Amino acid sequence: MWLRWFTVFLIGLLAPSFLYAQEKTARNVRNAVFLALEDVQQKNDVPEFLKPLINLELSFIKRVCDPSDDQMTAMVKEAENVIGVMSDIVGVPGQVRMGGDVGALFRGPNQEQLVGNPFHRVRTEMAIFVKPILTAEQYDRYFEESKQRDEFEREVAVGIAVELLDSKLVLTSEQRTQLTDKLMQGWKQVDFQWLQSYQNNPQYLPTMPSDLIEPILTSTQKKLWNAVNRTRVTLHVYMGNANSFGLEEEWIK
Amino acid sequence: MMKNTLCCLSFTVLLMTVPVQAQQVNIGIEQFERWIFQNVSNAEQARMTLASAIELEIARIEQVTPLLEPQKERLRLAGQGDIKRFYDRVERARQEFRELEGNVDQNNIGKIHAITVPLSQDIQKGLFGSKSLFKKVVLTTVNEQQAVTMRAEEKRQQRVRMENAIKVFIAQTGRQMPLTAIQRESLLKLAMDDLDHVEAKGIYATYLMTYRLSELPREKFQAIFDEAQMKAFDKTLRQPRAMKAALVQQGLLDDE
Repeated sequence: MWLRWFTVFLIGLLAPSFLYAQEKTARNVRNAVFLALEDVQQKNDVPEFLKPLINLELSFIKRVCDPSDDQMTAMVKEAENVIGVMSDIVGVPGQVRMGGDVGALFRGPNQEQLVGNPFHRVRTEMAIFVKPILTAEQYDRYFEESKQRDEFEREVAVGIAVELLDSKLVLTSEQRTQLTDKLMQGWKQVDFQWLQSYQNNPQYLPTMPSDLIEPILTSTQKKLWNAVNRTRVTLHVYMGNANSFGLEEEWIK
Repeated sequence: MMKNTLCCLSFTVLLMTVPVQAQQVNIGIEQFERWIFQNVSNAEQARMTLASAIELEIARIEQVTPLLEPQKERLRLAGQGDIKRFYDRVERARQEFRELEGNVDQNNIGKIHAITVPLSQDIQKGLFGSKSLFKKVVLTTVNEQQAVTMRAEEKRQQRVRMENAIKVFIAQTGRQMPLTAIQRESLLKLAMDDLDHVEAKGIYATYLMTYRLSELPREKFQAIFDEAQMKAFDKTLRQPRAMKAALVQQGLLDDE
């Protein structure tokens, strides 16, 4: 309880500057507020909210690779280690930034700022841990399915990006195809859940790689692009809690 | 939306920090306007930004179909009408604020903030949306051929939105229960084949699409998923069913 009051007190101290701040200052203050909140919350070093993601990946492997009971037991045991390896996913508050290849900012269920994409991270770590347990043929199957899943998710994300741009700039059919190709080739970190938030808030645009977009636009579209580009706002992807995961296969508790 | 949230948070915080004895809060007209205009620093700057937004709206229409100069002139006038209407509301808000200015305390600061919220929301969304004078004048200004071209473009964008909504739903489902490539493709085909006629915008496109999906015979999904997946998918489909009332209210569904 005292921690909560301390956090409220800390927020209170920041209030006057918060109220009168211009946007830039407001952003700094917001980071400081999150810092205070997250300091309280990060006492718990094990990111429990990752467990449903790991369980999901185990269920995925089960369906794709058809492992034996022994293999499944061994993978579940290894999966326990994945959580430990991933404790660094909870970033230092205020220091988590989008990378050079513009991606998404994820937050945990208690506002933890996450480093990178937790879905991709779980998949990468799990692939390392289960490789020695699966046969080469099973692993190849897993690798191929996982790759297709990533590609599908990225196609979905790029589709949303092109839709957002199309609604603002009115692209020709050729431009849409060119943009889709360019973004698929060059925008590796994009996440569909992140762009989905912008579909629901069409007054904003996400930060997008201008170097891939601008060469395709006409001069009029560039003018529109520069105008809409000024209204960029960074929205976060919030991780749900375990209840939002529907499959009743709880491999690790 | 985020800026509004921040603004609300700043209020909550301010109220928490004002000691009970210190009733007065120093809020000036500049601050009041900043709450309305958010990232645009003041009313005059906002007016200039809005005036150039009319030209951008016209440029956007011309990406679909060229306009004649008299048509553009009518649209400019309509846009200016929207801006005037907005500033009339701002002026009324200022008057309400002036009545309270110098007498602001924690009891009425929330009231002052509430005056600014609808205005700041409107300026964030843009003044030339579907209910604007600008949009109404567009419909009466373009000729038949231009209207046909614009409707075709709108229909195409609608189709893209719906396809994307379906794909997002499937990708999202894949993050809640494991889907193999074959299952994903089967679900995509099922949704695309059966939901061709769905039309909606924004978040309602997703709601409507998932609602229609939830209305499909369960056997169609049973042919795609295993038992555990089906159980999870049933839970997923329960949510859109709960959206029915909202969809009926929006006129997107008949109240069967």
